Amino acid sequence: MILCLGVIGLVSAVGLTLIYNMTKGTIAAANLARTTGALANVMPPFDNNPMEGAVEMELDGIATRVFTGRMDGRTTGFAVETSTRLGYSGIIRMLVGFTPEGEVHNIEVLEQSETPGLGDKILHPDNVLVVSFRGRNPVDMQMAVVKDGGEVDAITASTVTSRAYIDAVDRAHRAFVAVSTGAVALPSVMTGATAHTAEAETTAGIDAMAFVAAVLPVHNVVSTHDLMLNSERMVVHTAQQNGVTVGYAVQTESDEGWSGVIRLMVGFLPDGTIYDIAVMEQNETPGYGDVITRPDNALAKSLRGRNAHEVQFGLRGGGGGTAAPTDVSRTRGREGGREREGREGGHRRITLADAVAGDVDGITGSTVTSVAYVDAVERAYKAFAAMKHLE
Amino acid sequence: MGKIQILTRGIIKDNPIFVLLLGLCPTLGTTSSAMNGLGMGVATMFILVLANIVISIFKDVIPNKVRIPAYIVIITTLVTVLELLIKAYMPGLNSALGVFIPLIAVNCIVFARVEAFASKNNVVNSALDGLGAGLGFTMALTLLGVVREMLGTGMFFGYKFIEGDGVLIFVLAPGAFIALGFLIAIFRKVAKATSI
Repeated sequence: MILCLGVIGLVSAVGLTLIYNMTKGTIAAANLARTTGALANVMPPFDNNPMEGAVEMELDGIATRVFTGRMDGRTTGFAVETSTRLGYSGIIRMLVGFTPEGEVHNIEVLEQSETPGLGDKILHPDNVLVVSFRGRNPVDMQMAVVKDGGEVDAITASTVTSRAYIDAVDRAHRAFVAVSTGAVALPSVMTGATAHTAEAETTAGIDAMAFVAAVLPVHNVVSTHDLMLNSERMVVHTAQQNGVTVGYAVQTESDEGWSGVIRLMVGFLPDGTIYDIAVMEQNETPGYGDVITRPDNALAKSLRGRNAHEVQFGLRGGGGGTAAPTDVSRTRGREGGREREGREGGHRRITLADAVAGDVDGITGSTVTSVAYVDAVERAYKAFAAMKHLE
Repeated sequence: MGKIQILTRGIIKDNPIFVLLLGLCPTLGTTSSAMNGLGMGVATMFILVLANIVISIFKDVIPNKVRIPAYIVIITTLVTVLELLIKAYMPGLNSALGVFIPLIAVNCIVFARVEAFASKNNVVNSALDGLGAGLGFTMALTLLGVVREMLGTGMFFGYKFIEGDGVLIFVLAPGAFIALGFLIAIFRKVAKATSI
């Protein structure tokens, strides 16, 4: 009995292994053909293999890849593979092609499960959305459907799908900007780097550029500066569009999160308004602290659009003062700058009493994470202010 | 029972969808167009025939007590092979049928034919039985796909014969139930009247 089952299992396993190995190459080739076919469809003509040297990044927590097309060594275009979660049902994955000047060349939907007959019209090669974008530079466009005050024609009866589509194109465009300008800004990122190897810095640099693009208005040149703030190195990216400074993006971090370091990129407009905040790295509890990666979390919502000069950095009602401190192995570095001592002493716990009261809305159930987040933003603000002062 | 009867029984008298109502999940899920229905039907037929053949060959060496797990292993292996082959050589069909191909493994019609017929009959008859049930399944899925596609989008196998949008609900899930209900009623009426 057992022998019989064992033999059947063994034969099945061997058979499957053979078939798997037999079809592995063909399946990979079929997938590759599909992707390159889609690339050729959305990008201006190229003669290289754009799959090689694709830049991978994460924008708004969504994996995004940028492919560069070249002909005779000259860059002829870019294609960005990204997706959106805002669709009516499930993820919409798209490939958006750009000319080097930033005009949308063509768009193809790679994967979707929108309503058949309504939202799935985005699959049509000449749907109204593609037609709205084709040949135009998103910089010059109001990126929203007409209904929302933008200038993109929505698919009739599929506003949700159309909004999601625009969201993906917008993200693709930011990734495109990050890569096409990142090349300019890369060398300056590397100045002042000490601990990392050059290679690591390069990827970190490209990565950072994507986040810069994510948190600032459209720009075409980024210059990067290091500055010392309370004896810690801060990286400030200054973004310019046609010679005019449109904003500053500050890389900042807090190691006071619930688990591990939280790295943020905070974008400021020149007048100090917080334009947007992106989480570059975090390790917080899934379902609780990791809510900070959502673009519309309470913290980002309550900070976005406010002038940083007027923000009371701290959680609303955060102090409370009622909870007794259980482990104060350090003092909170609000007044005296950040203090490094006591950090190595294993897992620290920030108590509610530790948290300084301010006017930022925290994330319910994730006070520690929220405090760390606000702390990081505050440090970014200080760096931004210092940068402005230097200028 | 003659060979012809074994073959036709699965198509008319014991039609998996219209009479036995087995394997409705992939039926409702994949028939949003005639082509998808046909593809799913043929894929399932392939598995039905192969599973019946393999199991009728080994029916005497598989102990009765472990026959169910043995059948499951055999069927899932066949389905996985089919999935790999479709991925490799028919990527278009793969993206259309997607998750439903692996689900053939748990389609009760496959298991029903294996358990009820192949485990008790010889190879030729089992193959015919699988073919019959597979043809019946394919016919039902294609018919349902044609009806839904025609009413929902005004197309026949992707060819547009009426301008305009069609009755969208037939492409969506509720339309699948409605169309299937009517098709079952018509099928039974016709089968009874002609007493096949």
